[in-house]
Amino acid sequence: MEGPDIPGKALLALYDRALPVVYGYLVDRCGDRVVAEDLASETFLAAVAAAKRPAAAEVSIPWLVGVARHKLVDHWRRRSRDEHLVRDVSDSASDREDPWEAQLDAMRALQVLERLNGDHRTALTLRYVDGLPVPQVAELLGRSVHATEGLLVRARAAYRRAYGEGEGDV
Amino acid sequence: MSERSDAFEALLRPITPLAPPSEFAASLRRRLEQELGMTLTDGLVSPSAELDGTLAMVHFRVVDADRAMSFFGDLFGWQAERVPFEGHVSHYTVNTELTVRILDDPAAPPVVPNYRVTDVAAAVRSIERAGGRVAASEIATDGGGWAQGADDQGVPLLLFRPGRYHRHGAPTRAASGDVGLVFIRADADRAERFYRTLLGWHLERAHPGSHYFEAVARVGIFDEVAAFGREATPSVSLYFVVDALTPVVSRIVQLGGHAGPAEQDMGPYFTSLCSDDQGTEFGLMAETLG
Repeated sequence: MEGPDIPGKALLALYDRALPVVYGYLVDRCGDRVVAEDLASETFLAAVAAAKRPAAAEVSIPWLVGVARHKLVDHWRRRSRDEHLVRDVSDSASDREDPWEAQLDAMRALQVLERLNGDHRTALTLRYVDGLPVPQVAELLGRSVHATEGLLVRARAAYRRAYGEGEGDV
Repeated sequence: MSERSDAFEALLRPITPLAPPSEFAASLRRRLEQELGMTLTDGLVSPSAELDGTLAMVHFRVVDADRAMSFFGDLFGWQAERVPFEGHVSHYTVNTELTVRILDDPAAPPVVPNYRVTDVAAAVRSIERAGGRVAASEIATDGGGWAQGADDQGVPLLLFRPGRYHRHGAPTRAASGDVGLVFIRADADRAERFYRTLLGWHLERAHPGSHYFEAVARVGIFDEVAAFGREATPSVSLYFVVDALTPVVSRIVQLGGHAGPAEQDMGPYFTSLCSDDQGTEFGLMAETLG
């Protein structure tokens, strides 16, 4: 009975090549190897669940990275809740569009990002680190495009302050 | 007129593949196989318990940690987090498969293998019962924490339960050199007794007649007394594995270090005994000379 096993076998065949990509993506974004291991595990277990479904779609590395991205967003959302970091930031001074022309130091830029509150960090990571268009960011965050644009404006302002002050907004 | 650019665009990061710890990769693969019904198991073992007794980190003592980090950063492409602590500096590598802690505490042993355990409190009791020594420990009420000491032959060791360690900068590139082998010179029979009780090890002789035993991934025990019939002080050496030996040896010399001749005395590996530009000794191993 080879049939039912085929998606599972395809997943395992992909595993050795896909795991470093998924793990590298997660470590790079969350900066914590233990969390990255947890999220990579969740990603591949989700792939197993998908592979078991009837008429399972083909699992590919981009598909796995997409799942990993969802897991990362969920992780940050949980962390925000757990640590009571979610704040309704309504800084009117920051609600302006803002092409920022400073030259960012790459390493420091990411460190500053890690110190932002959960919502800001998630939005900026998806939009700028992953380079996703705003509608896709909105979909991942479960918000409207308009609300996401507002969040990004606030997040950019918070980031700019943190970068300038050397401290995050947590 | 220059084109306006948004500084946030500098945050864009391509995905850089990074090899996860091999124990984690193997453990997850087994879990997937179980979930897919491809492997029959006697009972599910939690991934953390399954990793008990495996190598999780290595402490590597150097003369000056910042200078050593510069040397090994150049040599192996290592990236690390710098942590000053109690008058000493440590660098924890963040882009190797196995974390190396470079530290410049002169009181530390030259190489200390760190093993994972789930229950540190129980491990401490086991060390003491088996004739080992616990020099320092911090044990949490749930049995977590760490303990440092030596086995019953004086070989240094550190046991800890990995936890949610603090955040650090993410690596931006893969390393070209990683921990290849923690090479322990000790009486193999005594080591078998001690570590079987403590960490569940079963030493496997590399081949009939060999005095080298594989313990767990990246850890081996060489019974030098049995091999050469002469007294030897138990000790630990650290070998880093690279793709090809010769280019790395050349680079060591360029960086002011020293590299001994290439040997083929460790199974399929070519090896070289080296030292960095401060005289800290380490070994290199590679499957090809290059």
